[in-house]
Amino acid sequence: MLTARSLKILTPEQAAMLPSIRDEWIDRAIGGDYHVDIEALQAGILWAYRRAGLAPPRHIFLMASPWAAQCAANSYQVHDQVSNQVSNQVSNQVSNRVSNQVRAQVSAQVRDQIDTQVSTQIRDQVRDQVHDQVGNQVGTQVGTQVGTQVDAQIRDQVDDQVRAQISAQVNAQVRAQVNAQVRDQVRDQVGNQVGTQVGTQVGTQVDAQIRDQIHDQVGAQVHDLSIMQWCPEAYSGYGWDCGWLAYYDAFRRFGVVNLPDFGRYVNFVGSGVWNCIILRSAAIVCRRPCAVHRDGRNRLHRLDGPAVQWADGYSNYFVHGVSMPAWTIEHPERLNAQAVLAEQNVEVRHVMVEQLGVTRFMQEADPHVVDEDVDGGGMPRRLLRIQMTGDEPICVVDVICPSTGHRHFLRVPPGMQRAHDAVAWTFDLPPEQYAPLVEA
Amino acid sequence: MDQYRHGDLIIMRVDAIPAGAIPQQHRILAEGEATGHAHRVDTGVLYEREGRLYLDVAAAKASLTHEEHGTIILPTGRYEVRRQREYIAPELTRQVMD
Repeated sequence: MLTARSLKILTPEQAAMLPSIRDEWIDRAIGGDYHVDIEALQAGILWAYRRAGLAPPRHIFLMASPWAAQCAANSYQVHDQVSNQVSNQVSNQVSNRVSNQVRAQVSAQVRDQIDTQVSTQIRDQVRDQVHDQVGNQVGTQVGTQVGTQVDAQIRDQVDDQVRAQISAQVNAQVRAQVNAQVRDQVRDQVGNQVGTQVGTQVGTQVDAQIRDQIHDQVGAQVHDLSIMQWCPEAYSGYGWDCGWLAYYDAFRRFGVVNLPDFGRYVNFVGSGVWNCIILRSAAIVCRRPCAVHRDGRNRLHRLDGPAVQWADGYSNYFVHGVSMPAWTIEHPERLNAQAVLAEQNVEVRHVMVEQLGVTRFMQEADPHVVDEDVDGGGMPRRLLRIQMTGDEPICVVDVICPSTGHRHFLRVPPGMQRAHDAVAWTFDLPPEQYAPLVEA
Repeated sequence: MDQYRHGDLIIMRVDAIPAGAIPQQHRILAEGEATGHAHRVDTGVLYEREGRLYLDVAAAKASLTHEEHGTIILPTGRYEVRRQREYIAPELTRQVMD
């Protein structure tokens, strides 16, 4: 073993190893191999629970996508809640204990070992070439992006369930009954005309109150089941741990790190875990993706299909790192100016305009140029008005981001007359007060 | 009033952080929903009051960074952070989302 601070400079051979360590970890994480070594996985999970001072889980579920894993976790929570009302709280604590505590402890031990034996300069060199690059390409690009998408989809699904339940309960039971009661009472007393008005009013008020009550009760409960709520620090696996594991792995190969627990964590993740949701009595493991497509800047990107594919068919769509609705990629023929103007996210809208082509977008939208000028940074701006049949005109300010060169069409109130005033309005500032010193 | 424009944010110098503003445990000024990217500073304390963010930079400077935008250097001072908004319908606006 090396003595304290003995590693002051990397040999040419060690320096040459950094890119290959980086590529090896990236390839293992997102190279398309979704095989799981079951024995190593079981051993890894049992070690993690034991390391966190917990009884081993009763079940280990192996799922093929983060979506399936999250649905399995939520279903398991429902099952578990029946037998133990506090399990939700306990599960979250368990999840934190295994993912945060074990990771934090193992990581801290390895860091101490490296800190005492490796100079700052070498640490920075390895961090730049291995930790940051692996972390950015795997964790930030794929882990965060896909995780955010799954989280949003789960939230939508939970909301749909809540809405559906409320709708069924309110419409089928409460509203019909209350309305009928009020209508009958009032109609008998003050006649049909007044009865209709009062009945509607009272019915609406009662309906809203009961809707709120049911939303609070049902909604809160169902939301509790959505345990993920996007907290990547609570997961273990390639999707979240790649950066720091690769960084410390470099020092293990240089002979600096020799901690058994670090080796066990690497073996656990290395068995093929993309992420692992830890519950009190079950661990739900997700396999790695079976295909990941990226652009030249390593952003998730594919124009003719999903950028990330999972073995069960679950897919994620991205264009140059922007999360896109599936239909814009699978059915680009449905893209038109109306769909662009209806899209609420400016980055998604920008990609849609690029897909459609600015020329075609302008032809279809057929805007009237109300005003044009140049901003403080020399970028052209235009205020456009698009006439809509049967609706107020759509007024957009057409601006170019000085950093990205992306062209954005931002909707502003239809009465706007000057491009500068429109941009000032987007920041809730009077035109005379909008004068940025720097724009980036 | 010094103003710094960073993508869909504007950072404006203010005299003081409003009373009652609550310090935040992070330095992320805004996060992109579709990209996962974030506007963040490397030093300073963020505060929140009534949905608005404020930034107190005690150091000589803070670097405001984002994966897709150039870095802006903010000198010592107190700032209000505003996110760009869009028109939806009369009396209705929404924050610009990226």
